[in-house]
Amino acid sequence: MTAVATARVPRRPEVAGDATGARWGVARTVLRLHRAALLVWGLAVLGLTGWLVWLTEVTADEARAKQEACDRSTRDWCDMSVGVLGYSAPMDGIAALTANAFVAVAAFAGGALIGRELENGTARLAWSQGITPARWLTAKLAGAALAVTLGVTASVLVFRWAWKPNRVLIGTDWMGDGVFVALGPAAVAYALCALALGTLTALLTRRGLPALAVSATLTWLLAQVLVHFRTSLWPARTRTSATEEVHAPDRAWQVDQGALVHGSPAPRVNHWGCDGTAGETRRCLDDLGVTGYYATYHPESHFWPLHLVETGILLAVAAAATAVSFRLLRHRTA
Amino acid sequence: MTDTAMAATALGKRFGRRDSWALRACAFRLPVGRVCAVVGPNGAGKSTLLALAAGLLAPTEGSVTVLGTDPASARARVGYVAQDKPLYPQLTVAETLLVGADLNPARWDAATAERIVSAGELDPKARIRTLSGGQRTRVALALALGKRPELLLLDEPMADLDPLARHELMGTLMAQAAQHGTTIVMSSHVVAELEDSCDHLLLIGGGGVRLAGEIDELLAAHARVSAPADSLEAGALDAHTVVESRVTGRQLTALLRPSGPVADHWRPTAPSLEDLVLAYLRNPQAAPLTPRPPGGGRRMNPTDTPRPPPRGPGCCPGCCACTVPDWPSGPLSSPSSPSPCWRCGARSVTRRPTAGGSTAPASRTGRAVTTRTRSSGTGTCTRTPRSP
Amino acid sequence: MYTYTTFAVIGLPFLVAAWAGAALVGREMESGTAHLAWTTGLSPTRWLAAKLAAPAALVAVGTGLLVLLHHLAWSANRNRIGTSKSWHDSPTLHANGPTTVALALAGLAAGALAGLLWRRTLPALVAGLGFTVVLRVAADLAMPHLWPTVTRVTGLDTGYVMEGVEVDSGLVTAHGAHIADPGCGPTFVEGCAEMYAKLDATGFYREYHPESHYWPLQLTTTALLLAVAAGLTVTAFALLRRSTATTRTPSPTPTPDPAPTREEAAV
Repeated sequence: MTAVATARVPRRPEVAGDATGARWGVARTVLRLHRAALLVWGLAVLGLTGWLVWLTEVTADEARAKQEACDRSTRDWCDMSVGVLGYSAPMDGIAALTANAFVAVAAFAGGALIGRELENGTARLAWSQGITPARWLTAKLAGAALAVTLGVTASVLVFRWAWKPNRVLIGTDWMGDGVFVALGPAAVAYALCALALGTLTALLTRRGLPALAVSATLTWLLAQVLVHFRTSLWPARTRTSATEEVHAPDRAWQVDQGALVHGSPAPRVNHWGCDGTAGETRRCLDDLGVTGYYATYHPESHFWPLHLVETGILLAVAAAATAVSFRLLRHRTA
Repeated sequence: MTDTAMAATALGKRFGRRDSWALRACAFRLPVGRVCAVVGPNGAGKSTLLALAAGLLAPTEGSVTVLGTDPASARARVGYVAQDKPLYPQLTVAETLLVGADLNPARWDAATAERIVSAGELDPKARIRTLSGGQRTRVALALALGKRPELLLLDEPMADLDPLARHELMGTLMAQAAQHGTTIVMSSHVVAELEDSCDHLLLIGGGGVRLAGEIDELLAAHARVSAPADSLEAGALDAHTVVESRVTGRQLTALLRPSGPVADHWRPTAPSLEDLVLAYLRNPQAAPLTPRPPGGGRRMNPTDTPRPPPRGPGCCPGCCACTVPDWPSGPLSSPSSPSPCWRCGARSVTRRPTAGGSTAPASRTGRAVTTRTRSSGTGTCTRTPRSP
Repeated sequence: MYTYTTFAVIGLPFLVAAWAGAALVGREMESGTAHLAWTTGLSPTRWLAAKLAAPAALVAVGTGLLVLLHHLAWSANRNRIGTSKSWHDSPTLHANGPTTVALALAGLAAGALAGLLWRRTLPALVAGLGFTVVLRVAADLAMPHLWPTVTRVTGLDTGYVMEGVEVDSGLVTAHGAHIADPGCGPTFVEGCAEMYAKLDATGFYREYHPESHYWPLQLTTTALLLAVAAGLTVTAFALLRRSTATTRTPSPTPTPDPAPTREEAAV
């Protein structure tokens, strides 16, 4: 039986003119596909914020009482030993989790969101169902970005609420690795950057598991680099004195401290070894060439500039990675 | 143009930087409304061709147009099912159809999709990863047909279906083609099945198009001949394009593309589609055959390498440039039915310088022909147009 | 802050668990290459044994080496660097001893079991990782209780003795009962002496583990974790045997010797 070779023009489909309907349709599809991940993410955010609330409401008061008792007994290192297990360590832990959630986001983006679909061909299924590859990628990234932003923002807000009144109880204050990130939009920027890097890795490797491992490692390395150079993101303040040792003010982030040798900072000079009578000390210092003391630090007012510069860097990397991803996709498919 | 479903020009695709081309210099044209079979050995490039037409890959060179535009613009009107029938394993059957509806809001035909799925008695709540291969094929086909495409590209769709399902789904596809005029391009290995349902053939071998055209015409352009091997004169078959020739025992059988009438003692018969396909698959060095592009033109494959000067019956002097001394009395011609001119197709010449026409023999396919005469130096060329 | 080396040593069991769940077992179950291996004559239990044997040896040796190096580095720097963590600080406690090795082995087993249960790469990865996290938290919580503690009572004027891993602390009454500490402080703090007189308290008590308990604690926790690892492995094998057709009783007819050098290809 041969097909009737009618050159009949196929029936024109009813153009419903619902571009928004199409957009909702794609959004619904993305949601349907990644329900499990969304559920896990929601539970994680809920658990984290719940634990934070419980810590603040219940444990903080106990820790504060213990610390006051310790202070009254004039023992040293009160804030390091008392209440460490009860409050400070969990808070540090929560800060670390909030700040490092991006590793999980990168793994998800590289593995499940993009990589696995490219690997087992379901990306092709979507593209052959009428959405262009660019729209597919946009829908996926937008959905993931929305979920990630909402979750991390909630965590950051709750963390700020919990941290502000009780910061005396936490040893590291605002300069701690995790706390610094968890106090502002940098946490969201980390997560978005991880999303973009995971997507790019998945498009390059086209396989789920390698993309998962590579993107998690890559974003973690990026974070380590940023942590290392964090203090250089904004010009620090230097205070000098010719006569006595300079200390950074309270709650400032001390970057460097030491003696000035012939007017320029020499952090390695061991001027603490000079001891004894005033004369001996003076002679010892003169031998070393010490002319004064200095301290370089970031006062607390530098928190927002440092934070926002880091956020900016991350968002720039995210934007670049996203642009490259789209170019790569367009280059590969028609 | 809107009467072409798919056309390729010098299409080539290379994966990676190695020197291995999946497709090279492919050219063909598929009119709308056809059911086209894409056949070829494994690794010939069939899947690559279909993926290029579906807009899932970008060609390395050349171009392919689909429904008159580039594949990216025609994406909404083209349906594609890949060879491994990818589906989302975590969704249920019903949810998969909902995904299809969500992604094609303007064109989704839920009734057709449901009908195909329920004909296989699939539980709508079953997860895709629990389905067997044939059931997944059914769901994948439902997704492709539900978007009411104008062109349907199927990569080995019937591979893992049981005979009953194959018959039924073939019927669905044919009904679709008949009702909506959908052009169907199907790659398959089961040639016997294709002969019944397809009317266009695309044979891909070694990255290039070997055969392209309507199956009727292709079968008509070929002949199977057999004769005792010792009755063979030297170069007897050289007048025609030999696709395959084998000697078994004392018998010689060959598949030819005759360029003139074949002598009766050769017992020419029309080949079956399977014979044709197998012969071309077994002999990759045979010259390809593709229909001439629309708008007339010569009966030459435009991407073919230049033909060697014909050694056959030669040319009609004054009609074409080459001259061969023994025309028209070549070995296989007889005065009443001389071999046609290689280049212009002129079928006869009369020795006497008359200005009249001469009877033109009926062409091989039995269709009516019209003749035109033109005077030439030593005779008159009577031109018989090739069958369209 | 903690050094990277400590983190690297601590994090190793989690990486092992993730890898075991995803690449070692989960991916093979999902893509069917496990079935391929089973049809080439390798029985499923032997396949699993071969899959776990080499990684287990590598993980044990590798982690053991890292732990040893970390311990050596830490004890060398112990009293010289001011920021060096004390022995009872939780990550250091684990990175310095065999508990990390046992946790890594348990993570390997957990990942393999997760791969057999879910038979899909990503869920196995998440499950293996999650279970290892739970295991680590449980080990942390349980460790102080795995060895009898030392109780020291100090006078009300000096405060607690602050060393080692604390298990419990509070006030001791005249009758020897242990009651909770209201948090006032030693008696030289104003108002506390009266409170203690009211509570009939005679001293502070503290149950803790001094440094001499380091090795007992380490070894008991290691034994616990190894027991968990063994349990997980046995469960994995039982699951595999139940879900595939592996004969347990020897067949009555003499079977030909299985090929002695049937090494599986995919490790």
